[in-house]
Amino acid sequence: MSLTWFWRSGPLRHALTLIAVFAFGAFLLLPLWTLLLWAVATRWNFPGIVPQEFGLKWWSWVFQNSDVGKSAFWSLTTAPTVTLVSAVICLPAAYAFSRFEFPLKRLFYVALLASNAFPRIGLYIAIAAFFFQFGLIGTFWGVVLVQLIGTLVTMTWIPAAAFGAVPRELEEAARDAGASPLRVFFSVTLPIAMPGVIVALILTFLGSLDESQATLVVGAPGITTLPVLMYTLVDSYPEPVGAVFSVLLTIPSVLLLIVARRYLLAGYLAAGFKGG
Amino acid sequence: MAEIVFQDVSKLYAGKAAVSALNLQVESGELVCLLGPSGCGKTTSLRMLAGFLTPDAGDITLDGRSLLPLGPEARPTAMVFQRYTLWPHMNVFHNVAFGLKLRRISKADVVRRVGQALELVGLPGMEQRSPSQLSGGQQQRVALARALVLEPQVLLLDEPLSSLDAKLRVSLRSEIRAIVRELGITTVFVTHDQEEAMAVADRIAVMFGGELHQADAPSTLYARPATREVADFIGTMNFLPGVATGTRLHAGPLAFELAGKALSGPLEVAIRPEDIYFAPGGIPAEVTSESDLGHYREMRLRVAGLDAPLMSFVPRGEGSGATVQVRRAVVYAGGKLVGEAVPVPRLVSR
Repeated sequence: MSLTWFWRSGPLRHALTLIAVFAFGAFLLLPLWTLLLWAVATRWNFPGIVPQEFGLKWWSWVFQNSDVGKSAFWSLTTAPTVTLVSAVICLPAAYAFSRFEFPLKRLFYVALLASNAFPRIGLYIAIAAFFFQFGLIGTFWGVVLVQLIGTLVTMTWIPAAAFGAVPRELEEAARDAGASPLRVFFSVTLPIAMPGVIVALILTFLGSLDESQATLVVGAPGITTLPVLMYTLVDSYPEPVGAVFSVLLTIPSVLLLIVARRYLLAGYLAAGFKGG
Repeated sequence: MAEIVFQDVSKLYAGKAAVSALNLQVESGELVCLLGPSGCGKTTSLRMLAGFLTPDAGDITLDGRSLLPLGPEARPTAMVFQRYTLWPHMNVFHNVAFGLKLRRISKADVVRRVGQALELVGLPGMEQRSPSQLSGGQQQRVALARALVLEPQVLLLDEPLSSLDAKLRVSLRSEIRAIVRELGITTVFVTHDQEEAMAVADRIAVMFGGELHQADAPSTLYARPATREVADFIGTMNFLPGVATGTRLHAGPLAFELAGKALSGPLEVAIRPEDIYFAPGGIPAEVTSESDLGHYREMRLRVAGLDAPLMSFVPRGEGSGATVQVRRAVVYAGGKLVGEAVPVPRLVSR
């Protein structure tokens, strides 16, 4: 009894809550903190808790490396292209999955997962052999095509769920007011499903930006993106190089999350329906 | 002019008839309610009229021209839905203006007409509100404004009040009726609430299991329900088994004269609770239970010679007695109305 009183009264409860928050925060942030430290360290030997010497030596090294600029260019061209092409292919498919009945619908829906069911690298090598015959190896569009395999699931499933959550009455009301089906999609369905679509776009973009296996197999030697370059560099240079690359690759993610925050937090989807 | 005709309209769902051979005419400027329990085909019929469903057979015409080749966006109908009526990502102005903008009307006209429509539904100056800032009743008013602003030839209301609370429902339904009256617009109003239908409709079309049972003015519907189902669904009704011989009809201790008709065999006699009243010289009855409903008292009576108890509504201020009389009754054979029955004055026979 005294224990419950002590628990309810606060000190223990507050202390435990605080510990949990700190543990969770440490779990999330310590690796990032280590990464940031490595990125600005020039010497960090065991058993130092912080680096012995700081400096931006490796940053200038990375920026002066001519391969880095080229890889950054390919990263920043493939990722938006993959995202755009995925959206063009997958958003109509997602709408169809959420709204229409067609033969073998469930099979198709689950089949999107098939590419995730095998060891990826085997799949990529088989595809590379296939691409070779079409001269797609080492080309921009070859990389875009092979990356699409990984992005299809995200770009279809998340928007399909978002479209499915839009009440049909809202679409019917727009048809009734005189809008064509296409107009209804762009004026009603898409804006209401937008938070879900934006999440899918961000995940696709980041997934593409981070992709290395497929790009390595299909892109080499012509197309090297930043993660691919990072794999080759971390093996032959000290730790700070990998850390600098990681920080560089984090910048687009952080920027995207800041830009999309408004959409991600948008509460109007639920709020507008309270009258129902 | 906007006269709607359903001609032998049928709709099948998974091989079962949701609506079968519906024939119904809605006159220009008339407000017709489609009434029935859920699953009776009323909403299916309305959605076929709006263009969201295609009939499997039959035709729907507006002023003699078939509507079936037109999609919902091309039909001169405007609908108010039961739930999820407003687009949550647009404010009130953009919700109401949506259809006008599609019609390429000048910006100034759009602003003026949206303002007028909102005024008509009692929400002037609410243009900049977001749907989430409105109450359920206000949302339905905006939905009504959004439908009316397009000046449709036919207004379709799909249970527009069923998600609102009782008091608001009553006040909004009389407002809707007043607006529709003022505009003289042909209106089809779907509801499962018979009181709502009685209150707003010029005529009520009652449907059961996909079939139209009766389409009549509320008073006719109440006084002379065409089928046993309608009699049971509208208001409260006492049903008694009876036997006819010629123009005479007996139901237990009750005797009736059939109005100008000779029948024979087993029948059903239907009596409204308010047509059973306490008066001397009638049939001995005993009150078994009673509940006070404010403006009247609901009494269950046991009458010698009748298996089931009779329900009677006794107006406030009137007392009970030892015997009851019946004012009028309607008679059903095989579930269909065959006529009215007038009680035969009971001869004192000891």
